[in-house]
Amino acid sequence: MNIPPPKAATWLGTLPFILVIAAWWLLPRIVQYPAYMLPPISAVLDFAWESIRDGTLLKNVLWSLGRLFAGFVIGMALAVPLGLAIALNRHVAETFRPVLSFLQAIAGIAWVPLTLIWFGIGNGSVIFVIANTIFFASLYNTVTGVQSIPTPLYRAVRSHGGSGFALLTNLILPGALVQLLLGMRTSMAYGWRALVASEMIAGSNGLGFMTMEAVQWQRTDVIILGMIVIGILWMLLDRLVFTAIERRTVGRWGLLQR
Amino acid sequence: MTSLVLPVPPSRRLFAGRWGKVLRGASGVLLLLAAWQVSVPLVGLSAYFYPAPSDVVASFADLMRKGILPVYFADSMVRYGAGLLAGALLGVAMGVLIGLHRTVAITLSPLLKFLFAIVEVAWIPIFVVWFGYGFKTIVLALVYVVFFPVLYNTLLGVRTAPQILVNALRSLGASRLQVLRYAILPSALPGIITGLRVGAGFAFRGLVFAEIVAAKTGIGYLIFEGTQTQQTARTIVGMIVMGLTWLAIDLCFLRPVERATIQRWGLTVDAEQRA
Amino acid sequence: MRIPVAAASVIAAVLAGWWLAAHFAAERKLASLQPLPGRGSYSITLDFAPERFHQQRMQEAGRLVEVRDRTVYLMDVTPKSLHAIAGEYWVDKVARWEGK
Repeated sequence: MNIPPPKAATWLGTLPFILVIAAWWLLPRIVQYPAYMLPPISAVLDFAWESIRDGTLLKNVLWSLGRLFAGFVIGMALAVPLGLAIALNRHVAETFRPVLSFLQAIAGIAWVPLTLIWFGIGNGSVIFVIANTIFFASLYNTVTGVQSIPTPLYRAVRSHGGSGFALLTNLILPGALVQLLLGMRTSMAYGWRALVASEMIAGSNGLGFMTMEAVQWQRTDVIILGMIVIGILWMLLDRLVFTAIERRTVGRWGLLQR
Repeated sequence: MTSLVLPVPPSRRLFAGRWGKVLRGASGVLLLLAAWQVSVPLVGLSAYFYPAPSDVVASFADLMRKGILPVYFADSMVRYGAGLLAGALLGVAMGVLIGLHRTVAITLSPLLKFLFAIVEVAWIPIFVVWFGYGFKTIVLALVYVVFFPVLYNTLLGVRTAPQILVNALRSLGASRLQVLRYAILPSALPGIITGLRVGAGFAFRGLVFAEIVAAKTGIGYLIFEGTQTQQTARTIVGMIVMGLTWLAIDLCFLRPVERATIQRWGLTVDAEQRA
Repeated sequence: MRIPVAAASVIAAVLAGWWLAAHFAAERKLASLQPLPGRGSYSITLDFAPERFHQQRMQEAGRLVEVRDRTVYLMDVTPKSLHAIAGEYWVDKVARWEGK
């Protein structure tokens, strides 16, 4: 995935984009198709400008990001303590791991219909689904992380006289943290999908809602803009936030294969 | 307090060994079910909001008896399998084609990265506009989400094939196709399988979402329909089937294949660490 | 690789068994109706009140005219479609119908 580009060839990378845009511009002039199928570039640009100008685009983006953040915080806050509690005793950890694997398999989008009848349309549903996704992923990662701390490390800490609280902060917590960080990028990938998906079904605003609602009105220009913004936003998040976290922590600690 | 955290030495563990683990795991499941059943009268909501395990079991029996569940399950699996297969084949094909030409790889990389950033979930609205509801839209979304991880990993594998091997084969007079078959593809295989596993995970969740939005049959549709027809127990049945199906797919297909290819080719990174 | 192969074999066996069972069940249920006309009207009786799912399935086989209690009345059903419907395990009885 990370092919080091030779110095003079980054402009090569823009070529496909130019080609795609050119093809998009050319297509309506060559082929006949109903206008709603693929809007002209101008329509998308017009709508983009319009929604930036009247602030609705920014509003939708902020709502989406806000919900993502809220769901992330709630999910983590609930999962890590619970995970640590479960993982502290190996018997208990082993007892609950199958259950946790199972729950992680259905985490997120599958809960949307339930949230619809529980919370109706709106923030409650969307944040619940995101928190649900992050919660189960983090819970599983916390328990797995603690469980995979090598026994010699336990013995090492104890032989240095560490116990109880010291053990928790110096061994258990970092152990859980490692697994959490290793899985952070992936769980956020699922969290992001949960955000967009639940906004599409159970949201009242936000990027997902904006994109899905446009289907009703066959406003493909809105749909395409929505898709582009979703793509850009995830690229930014992934690149600037999660990859950076990954690189500075587990990458640095040598736990990531590069 | 401190003894809580010590790992229990094997000789003192109750039911040591593999069967002990299975028993403990099973007891965990039973505990959860029991807690759920007990919580129903405590929560005090109707079965519409909070069905009990007994409701769910009855609903499962009902769905089986009426032949609904097998058909929905089969429909979902056909869509999933088709998407997975097509996505993997396309991903490997493109990966090999692109990987063999460095310039092409560099050129296409940014566009591909951007396209993958537009998550498969976000493509469903435009697919619905273009292809309507049903099989085409759903499978297309799945192909999309499987294609990229497989492509990247194939690309990586092709480009990091051990040059020694390639040279050795060439010096023995191997054709390009033979080099591909005996050196490049085998070394790329573990990565491809890992990419497939990642894609399979995204695709499974994507399947359920796509079925909620764009289908009239399937497990995802069942999950949605249950709440729409005041039969919330059916929704829970759907969710449980979904979870068990994923565990079955992962344990019976994805992990063993990954283990087999990694063991064979000696790589130590597996999807568990990446994912 | 043993597990995936075994799992795939089990799935294949189940599918084959299912198809066979459906085939013979259909033969059994349609035995008294032979010979089948090119297009016929039939009453399909289930064990329970048909849901939207079953009515949908029926509509793929023929023209759904009426649903009364646990019976669905179809017209314009070809022998092939009838065979497919009769094979379903939730179909109790298939009888010839005079039509409206």
